[in-house]
Amino acid sequence: MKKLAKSLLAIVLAVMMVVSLGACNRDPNAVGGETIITSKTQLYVSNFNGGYGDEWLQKLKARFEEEYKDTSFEEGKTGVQVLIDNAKDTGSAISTTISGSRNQVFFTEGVYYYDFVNQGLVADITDIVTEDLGKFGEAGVTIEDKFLPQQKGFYKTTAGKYFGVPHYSAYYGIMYDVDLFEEKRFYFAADNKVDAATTPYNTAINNGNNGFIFERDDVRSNGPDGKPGTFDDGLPATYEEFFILCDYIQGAGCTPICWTGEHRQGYVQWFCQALAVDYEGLEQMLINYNFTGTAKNLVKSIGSDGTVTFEQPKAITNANGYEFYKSAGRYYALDFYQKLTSNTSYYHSKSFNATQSHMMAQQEFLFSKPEAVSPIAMLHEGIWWENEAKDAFADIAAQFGDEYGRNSRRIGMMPLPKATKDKVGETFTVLDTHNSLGFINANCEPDELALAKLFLQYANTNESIVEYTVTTNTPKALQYTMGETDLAKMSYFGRSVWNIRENCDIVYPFSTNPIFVNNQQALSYNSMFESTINGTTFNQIADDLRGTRSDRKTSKDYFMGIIAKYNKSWWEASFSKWFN
Amino acid sequence: MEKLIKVKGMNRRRRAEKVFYWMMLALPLLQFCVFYIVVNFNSILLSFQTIETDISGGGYIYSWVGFENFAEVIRLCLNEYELVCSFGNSMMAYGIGLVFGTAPALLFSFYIYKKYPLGGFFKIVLFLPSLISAVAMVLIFKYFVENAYPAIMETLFNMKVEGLLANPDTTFATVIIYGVWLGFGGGILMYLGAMNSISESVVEAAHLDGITPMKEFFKITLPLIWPTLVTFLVTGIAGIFTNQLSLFTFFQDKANKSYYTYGYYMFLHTKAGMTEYPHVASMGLLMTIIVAPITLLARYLLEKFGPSVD
Repeated sequence: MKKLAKSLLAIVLAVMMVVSLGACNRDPNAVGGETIITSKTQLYVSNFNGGYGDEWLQKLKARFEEEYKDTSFEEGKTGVQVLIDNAKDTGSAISTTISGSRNQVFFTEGVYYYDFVNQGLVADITDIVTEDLGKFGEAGVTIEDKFLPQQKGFYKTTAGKYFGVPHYSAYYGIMYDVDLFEEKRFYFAADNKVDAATTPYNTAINNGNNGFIFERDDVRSNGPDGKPGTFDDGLPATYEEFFILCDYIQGAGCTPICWTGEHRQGYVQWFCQALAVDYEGLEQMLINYNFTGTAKNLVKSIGSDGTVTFEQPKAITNANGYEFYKSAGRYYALDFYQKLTSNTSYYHSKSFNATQSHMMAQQEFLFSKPEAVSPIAMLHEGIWWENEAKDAFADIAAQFGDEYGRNSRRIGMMPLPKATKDKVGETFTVLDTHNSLGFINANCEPDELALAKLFLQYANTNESIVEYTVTTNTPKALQYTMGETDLAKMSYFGRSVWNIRENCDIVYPFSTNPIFVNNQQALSYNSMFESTINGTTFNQIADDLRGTRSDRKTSKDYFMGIIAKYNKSWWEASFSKWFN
Repeated sequence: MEKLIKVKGMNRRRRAEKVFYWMMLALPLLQFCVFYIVVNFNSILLSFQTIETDISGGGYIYSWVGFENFAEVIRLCLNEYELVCSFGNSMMAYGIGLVFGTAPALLFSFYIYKKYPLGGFFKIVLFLPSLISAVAMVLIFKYFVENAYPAIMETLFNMKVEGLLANPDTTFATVIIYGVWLGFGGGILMYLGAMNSISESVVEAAHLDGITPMKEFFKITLPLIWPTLVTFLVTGIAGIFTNQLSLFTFFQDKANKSYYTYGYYMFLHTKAGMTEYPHVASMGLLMTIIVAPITLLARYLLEKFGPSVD
C-alpha cells in the first residue's frame, strides 16, 4: 500500500513537472493569444505595457496590416501580421535578452541609449530617420525633423548615425480634480486694484476669503504663468499660496493631496525633482548635464527664516560641475515637501502605507469624490496615470454614472507653483524622465529588417503620432501639432497635458559630455537628492524630511548635506579623467 | 570462447554505461564551463579594466588599469557611507540568522522529528514561505505589518500605531525579521532530512538508558547531523557578501542607504550599466579573496572541534 502510494505520488509529481515544463514551450502557432497566419509575413513587436498600455499599438497594428495587406514581404506570402509581445521589460532587462529575442521592433523605457549602441544591440536606422515621409503623405518631412534639437544632439552619434526614435513623454506633477475645484471654488481671486496684464502676481490675498473667489464667476488670479485669461488662472501661483490652498481644502472637508505609499520614496523624489526643475528652468537645467554654462542660482547661505542668499553667477565646466549641486531649486523643493508633510491633514492617511500602490492611490483619488468621503483634491503622479487608471474609470462610471467616466470627468495637470513671487511669470519647465525609445533588434535578418524599419517609420508618421496622443492622452516625445478635431477626441486631462506641453519648456536628460555619458545613472537628477549630515548619508526624502517626525532633518540641513556630499573631492575622485 | 564472449559483452556494457554517463554529464559540464568558468574568468579580467562609452557608437572603450579598481573599491569600502553600513548590516544579518534562525530551526526540526503535537502543522507553515514566490511573500508580509498590525494594536490595545514599514524606526528590524522567517523553511527541511536518517536503533538504545529529550538532542542528534549543519554554517559564511536581505523586493532601488548590504550594493551597481561592471567585478573578486580563506578556516574549525559521533 505504501509502495503504491509512493508510486502514485511519483507519477503525480512527474506529470506536474511535465505540465509546467510544457508551459514553457511557446506554441509556434499563437502569440499573445493570436494565431499565426502562415500566408502572411510576421513582424514581432515588443511593448512595455505599463502606464501607456497597448491600445495605441493595437490601433497602429490594425492600420499597418490594412495598409500593407496586398504587399508581399517574402516569397509566397502576402500581407503582414504584427504580433505584439506585451512583456513589461525596461531597457536594462531587454539589453540582456534582445540578442536572443525574436522581437524585431521594441517600444520601451529606461533605455541608456549608448549602452545599447555600443553593445551592438540595436540596428542602424539612419536611413528611415532621414528619409522623406512622402510615401506616407508627409512630403518634405522626415522623422529627424520631428526631433527636438536636444534630442538630435544626443541620438545622432558622432558618426552621424541614428539607432532609435524617442517614444513617449513622461513628466511628473500634480493632477487636480477640476470638477471638485469648480464645485468648492478652490481658486484664487484676482486683485482688481492691479493691472493683471502687467502684474504677474496679482492674487487678492487679503480679500477676506483667504484670497479665494467668492463666486465661480469672480475673476481669477493670473496663476503661475503670470498671465490673465490662461488655463492656469486661479491656481496657486506660489508655494505659499499652495499651502493656503491646502488649508482651505482641508477646511472644506476635503483631503488636499495623495500619493502612493508603497512607492513613496521614488514618487516623492520625482516630485521634488519636478519642483526643482521648474525652479531652475531649461537653461539652468541643461548645465546639469552638459557642464557648460553659467550657474545663476547657486546658494551662498540660507537664513534661519529660510531666506536664500545667492552667490555671484559662476561659469560651470567639467572641472567644477559639483558647484551645480548648490543650485537653489533643490532647496526650495525639499522645503516645500517638508511643509507639505508637516500637517497630517494635508495628505491622505495612506500616503505612507507600504501597501498603497500607485494604482490604489489613483483609485482612492478617483473614488473619493463620488463616495463623498473627504474627497481628494490632488494626486501626485506622472502623466500616464490616466491611461493606467482606465479600468478604475470604467468601474467608477459603472458604479456612479458616466459623468465620472474617463471622457467626462475633468481632471487636469496643474502647472506647479513657483517658489517665490518673483518667479511668477517664468515658463513652466518639466523634465522628461523615462528615456523612452523605439528601436530595432540588430539581430534581424535582412528581409526582417526592412519590414521592421517600415513599421517603425510608419509608427512615427504624423497620423500615427496623433493617434497615439489621442489614445493615451499623453504626447509623444517629438515635435508635432494636434488639430482641433484631434484635440476634441481627447479627454479633459489629455487636453490639459497637451496644453502644458505647448506652453512649457521640456528638459531632456541627455548630454554627450563624457562625464554624463559614462555615469548616467549616478548623475541622473533624481539620484542627486542624497545628503550627508554628520557623517550619515540620507537618501529617503519621503521619510527623512517628513514634517511630523520628531527626528526629521530640516530642509536646510538636508540641502547643506547635499552640498557636503557632492563636493569637490568626490567630483575629482569620480570624474577627473574626463576633465580635458 | 565462452569466457571471451562474456568478457566482450561486459566491455560493451561498460562502454555503453560510460557513454550514457558522459552523455548525462555533458550538458551540466558544458553549463558549468560556460556559466561558471567563463563568466568568472571574464569577471576577473574585467576587474583589471575600465569601460568607457564611445559616443561615435563604435563600441565600448576598454582600458587596462592594473589594480586601480581594487584601490578604488577599498577606498569606497572605508569611506562611502552605504558600504560602511554594508559591512555591519551583512555581518548582523548573518549573526542574527545564526542565532535566531539556525538555532530555532534546529529545535523546530527536532520537535518535528520527534513527532510531538502539531509537528506536521509546523512543518508546513514554516516551509511555506520557501515555496511561495518571493514577491508574493513580501506582499503578504507587507499587508500584515502595514495593515493588520496597526489594526490589531488599535483593537486590542487601543493604540494608534503606524505600520512597521511606514515607521522608519522599525523598518530595518522588520526586514531582518522577514529574512529570518524566510530562512527557516529551507533549514528545517535539511535538518529534518538529516535527523530522519539517524538509525532508530541508536535512539532506542539511548531511550533504554533513560536519556531525556534535551540530552538526546545534544548527545545524539546534533553530533549525527553535524556534517549537514557544518555545510549550512559554511555556506552561510560564504553568502555574507551576497546576501541582499530581500531589500530589492521590498524597496526596489530605493532602500535607505543605512540598510544596504554588499549584495544589494553590487546588484544596484550591476543594473547601472556596463561602465559599472569593472567596479563591481573588482569588488566581487576582493570579497572572494577575503571570504574564501575564512570559509575554509571555519569548516576546518567546525569539523575539528565540533561534537564527534564517537
